[in-house]
Amino acid sequence: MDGKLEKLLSEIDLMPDGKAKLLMLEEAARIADSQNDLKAGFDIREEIVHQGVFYGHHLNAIIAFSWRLAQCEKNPHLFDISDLLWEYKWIVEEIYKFPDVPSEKIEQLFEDMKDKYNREGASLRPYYCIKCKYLYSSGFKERAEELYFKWINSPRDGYSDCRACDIDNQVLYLLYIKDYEKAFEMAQPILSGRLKCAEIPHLTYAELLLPSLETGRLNDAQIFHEKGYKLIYKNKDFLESMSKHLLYLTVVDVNKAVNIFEKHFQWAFETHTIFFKFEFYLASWVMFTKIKKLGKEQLKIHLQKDCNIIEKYKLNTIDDIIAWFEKETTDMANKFNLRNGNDHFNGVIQERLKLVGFQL
Amino acid sequence: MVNNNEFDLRFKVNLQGIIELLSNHLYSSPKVYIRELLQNAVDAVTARRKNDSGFYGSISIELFEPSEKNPGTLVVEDNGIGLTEEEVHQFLAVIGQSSKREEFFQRRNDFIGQFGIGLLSCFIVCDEIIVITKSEKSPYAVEWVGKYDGTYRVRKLDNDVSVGTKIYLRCRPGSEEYFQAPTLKDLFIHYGCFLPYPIYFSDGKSKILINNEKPFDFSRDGILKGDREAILEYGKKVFDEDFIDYIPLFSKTGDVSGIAYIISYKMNPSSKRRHRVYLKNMFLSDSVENLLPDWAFFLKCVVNCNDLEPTASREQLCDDKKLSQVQAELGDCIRSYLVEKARFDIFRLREIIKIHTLAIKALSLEFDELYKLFIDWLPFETSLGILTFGEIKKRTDIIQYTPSIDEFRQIQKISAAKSICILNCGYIYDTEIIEKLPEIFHDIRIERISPTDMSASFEELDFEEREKAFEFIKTAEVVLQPFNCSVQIKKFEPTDIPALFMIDEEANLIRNIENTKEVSNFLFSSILGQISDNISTSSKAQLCFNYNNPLITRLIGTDSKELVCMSVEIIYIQSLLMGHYPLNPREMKLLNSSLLNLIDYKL
Repeated sequence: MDGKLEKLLSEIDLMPDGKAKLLMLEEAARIADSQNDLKAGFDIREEIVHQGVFYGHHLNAIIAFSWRLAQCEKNPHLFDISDLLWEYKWIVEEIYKFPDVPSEKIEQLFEDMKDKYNREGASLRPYYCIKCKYLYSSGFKERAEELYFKWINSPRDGYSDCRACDIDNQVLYLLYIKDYEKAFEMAQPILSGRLKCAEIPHLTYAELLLPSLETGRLNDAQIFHEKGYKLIYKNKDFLESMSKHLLYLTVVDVNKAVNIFEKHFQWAFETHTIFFKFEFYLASWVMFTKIKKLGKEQLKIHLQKDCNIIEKYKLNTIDDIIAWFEKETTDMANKFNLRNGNDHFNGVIQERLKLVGFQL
Repeated sequence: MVNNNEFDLRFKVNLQGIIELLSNHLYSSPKVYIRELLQNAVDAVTARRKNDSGFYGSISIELFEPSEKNPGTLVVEDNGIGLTEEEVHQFLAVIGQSSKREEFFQRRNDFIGQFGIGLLSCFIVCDEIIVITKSEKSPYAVEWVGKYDGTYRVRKLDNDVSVGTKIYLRCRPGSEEYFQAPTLKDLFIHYGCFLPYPIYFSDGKSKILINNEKPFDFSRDGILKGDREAILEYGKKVFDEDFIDYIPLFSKTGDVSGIAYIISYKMNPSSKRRHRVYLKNMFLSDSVENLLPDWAFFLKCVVNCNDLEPTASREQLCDDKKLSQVQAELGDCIRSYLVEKARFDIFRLREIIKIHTLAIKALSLEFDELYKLFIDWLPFETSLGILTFGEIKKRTDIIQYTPSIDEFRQIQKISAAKSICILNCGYIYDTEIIEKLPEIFHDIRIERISPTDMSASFEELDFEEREKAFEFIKTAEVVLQPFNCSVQIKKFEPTDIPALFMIDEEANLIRNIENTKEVSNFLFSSILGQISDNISTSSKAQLCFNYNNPLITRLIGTDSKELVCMSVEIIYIQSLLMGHYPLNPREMKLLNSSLLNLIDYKL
C-alpha cells in the first residue's frame, strides 16, 4: 500500500460522470487487484457498472458486474448478493443486445435472475418487465404479451424501477403492439413533467417521435425532437434514442439529419452493443436512401478521424455509402435472426425503409 | 342519516392533523412560523401603503420569555391595513381559500404570502393564538382567539385600538426553545433582515432594529456601488468561508438581483449547490439548488427575486420555464464577468482557473467565445510536465494527445526522453477541448496518438541487426503467444528501458474480459467469452524490445534459448507490473515458475 489507490480515488471523486471517469475507475480497479484488495475492487466496480450503464459503456459494465457477482458467490461472508439485484436487471437488459450470446444462455440468465430475486424475497416485477422487453424486441409477440400482464400485475418494491421508468416501459410495449392512442395517454404524466428521472423524459420523447408522425401529431413531434435532443446529445448512452431522432429528421428535414449523423456516428461506430449499432446504422441507411431519392449522387460528409468510414472504405458516392450501411446492417440483422430463429429483424428493416417514402 | 343525492355535506378537516402534516412533511423546520408572522405583517403594511403611499409602516415584536410563572408569550404588532370582522372569519378560519385573499390584496404580485395558511402554522409551537385587529374600513376592533383543537371565537372590542394587527402567541409546554430571546432574535434577523419596513425586536431588556445590519440592498445600485470589502465580509458571514471574489447578478426575468461568490477551493461538479435566496426580500431558503446553470458549480450566491414562484413548501423555487430563463440571464452575468477578467485582469482570471480548472474547462466547451479567451490559460498534463495551452503551442506545431491516462503512461517516458510534448487528455473535458481546437482555430492541427503510433516512429533495425535479433524474436513470440501479446524489436530512447508494453483501449478491454472470465462463474464466463470472440481481434497487446538496451543486446548475443525464454517471461511480467496491470492466474504462475527457473539456472 503506497496510498496510490487512495490518491486516485480522491481524484476520481471530483470527476463528473462519463468516459474519462470510467477509464480512471478501471485504472483504480487494476491497482486494487494488484494489491489484492477485494473490498476496494468490489466497490470500485460498482461505480464502473454505474458509469458503464448510464454513460454508454455497456460492455465495461457487464465485465465489472461479472466480477462482482463472482466475488459475491465466492465470498458470501464478505459481500451480500442483495446489493447486486438492482444492477442485475440492468446487466441482463444489456446482455441480450449482443447477438453472439445464444438464446439458451439468455434463458439461463433470466432463470438465474429470477432465482436470485426469489431468494431475496423480491417482487419479480423487474424480471417480467425485462424479459417482456427481450421477447418483443426479438419478435416473440405472444410470449411477450403473456409476460406483459404478469409484469404490470406484480407488486412494486425496493428493486422496482422508478415510476417514471416503469410508465415509460409500458409506453414502449404499447407502441410495440401499435396501440398508439393508449400509449400517448399512458405517457401523459411523463409529458406533463409530473414524472421524471435521470433518463425520463429523454427516452420517452425519442420513442414517441415516429408514432407522432404516423398519427399526424406533427407539432408534438417537433416539440419532442427539440426538447429531447437537448437532453441526450451529450451522453452516448442515448444512442438508441439518437437513432430515432435521426429517423425523424430524415422525414422532416434531411439536412438536419445529416448534421446529426455527422455529430453522432462515432457513438455508433465505437459501441460494442450490437443492437444499438444496428439501430443507428439502419437509420443512417434510411437517411442516405432518402438523400439518393432526392436526386443527390454525392455529398461531402465530415466524420471524425477514428470513424471516418468514407475515407477508410473509399465510399465515393451516395450509392457506395448506402451499400456499405446496407451490408453492415443486414449482417447484424442476420446475426440476431440466427440467434432468435426467426426473421423478426428483416421486418424491422422493412418497416424503417418505408420512412423513405413518408409524405408529411 | 340518509342523504337524498344532495351534495350538501362537507368534509370535516381535523386542524391538529393538518398542522402535524405541515410541520412533519411540508416545512423543513418549525421555525417557519417566524416567516409566516413576518409575512402577514409585511403584507398588511404593503396593503395599507397601496392607499396611502406616504404612510410610514413599521412592525414591532415583543417577547416575554418563558419563566416559572409565565409560559412565555410572543407579540407581533404591525400598523398595516387590519381586518374587518368579516375578513377575520374568512382569512383566519378557512384553510386553503387563497383566492379570496388574492382579491383582498388585489395584485398578488406585491405580496409575499400565497397559501392562505400562514397564521395557522403558528400552531406548530403554541396551543392558542390571539389576534386583535382593527381595519381602516371598520369603526371597531375585533378579537379572534383560535385554539389548536380547531375551535375559535370572535368578539367585538369596545376599547379604542389604532388601525393594525396584534398577534399573541402563548408558548406550548415543550416548545420553549422557540421562545428564547437569542434564538428568536437570530431567527427574525435571518428571515427579515432585507425586509423593507423597520422591524423592532424587544425582549424587555433591549430593543433593536433587526433590518439594520445589511451590507447592501438588492437594488442595482445597492449591489454595484456596494463596498467591496463589506460585500465579501457579508459572504463570509453567510457561508462561513472566504471567497476569492464576487460577481454581481441581475436578471430581468423574475426580477432577480444579488451576488455570486467565487469559492476558494476545488469543487466537485456534481456536489449539491446551496444558494441563499430571498423572495421579495423575505428569506426563502439556504439550499436552493436550481438557480444557476449547471456549469456554475464554483459559485455560491445570495439573491433576491421579486417575481419567481416558490414551491408549496416555500423552500425551493419552482423549476419552470421562467427559472430556466433566469438561469440563462444569470449565466450571462457570470460570463461577462469572466470575459472582463480575461481582458483587464488576467491575474485574477489565472487564480480562478487554477482553482476551478474543471469549471472553466466545462464553460469553454459550452461557449466558443470563452473558449477563445481562455484556451491559452488552460493547464494540461503533458509528457514535459504541467503546461498551459499557450506554452504547449510554442513548443509544437501539431498538438499530439492520448485520450486516456493509461495510454499516456505507456508513452510518457519515451516521449519525455525525446522531448516530445504529448498531452494527457485522460482527464475530464480534456479530449473534448483538444478535439474542438481545429473547429475554432483553422490553423491548428491535432493528432490522437496511441502507443502503437508511437512505436511506429521508433528507429528500425538495419539488415545486419535484424539478422542478429531474428532468433531472439522468434523465441519471444513463442513465449508470449499464449498471452495474446505480439512482439517487436526497435531502437528507442531512453536506453535503460529494455522493453515497452503497449496496449490500446480495445486490447485492454479484451485483456479485461480474459481476466474477468477466469474469476467469473460458468454462466457469465461463457457469456463474456461469446461476446469477446466477436470483437475484432486486430488489436493485441504488444511488447516492443529496445535494441539499444544493453541487457537486450546481451540476450540477443547469448546462445542459451532457455535463458532467453526465462528473461522474456520476466521482462513481460515486469512490464505488466510497471503499468499497473494486475496479473491473471496464468501470468502469476508464469512469474513464479520463471523466477524459480532463473535461480535454478544461476545455481
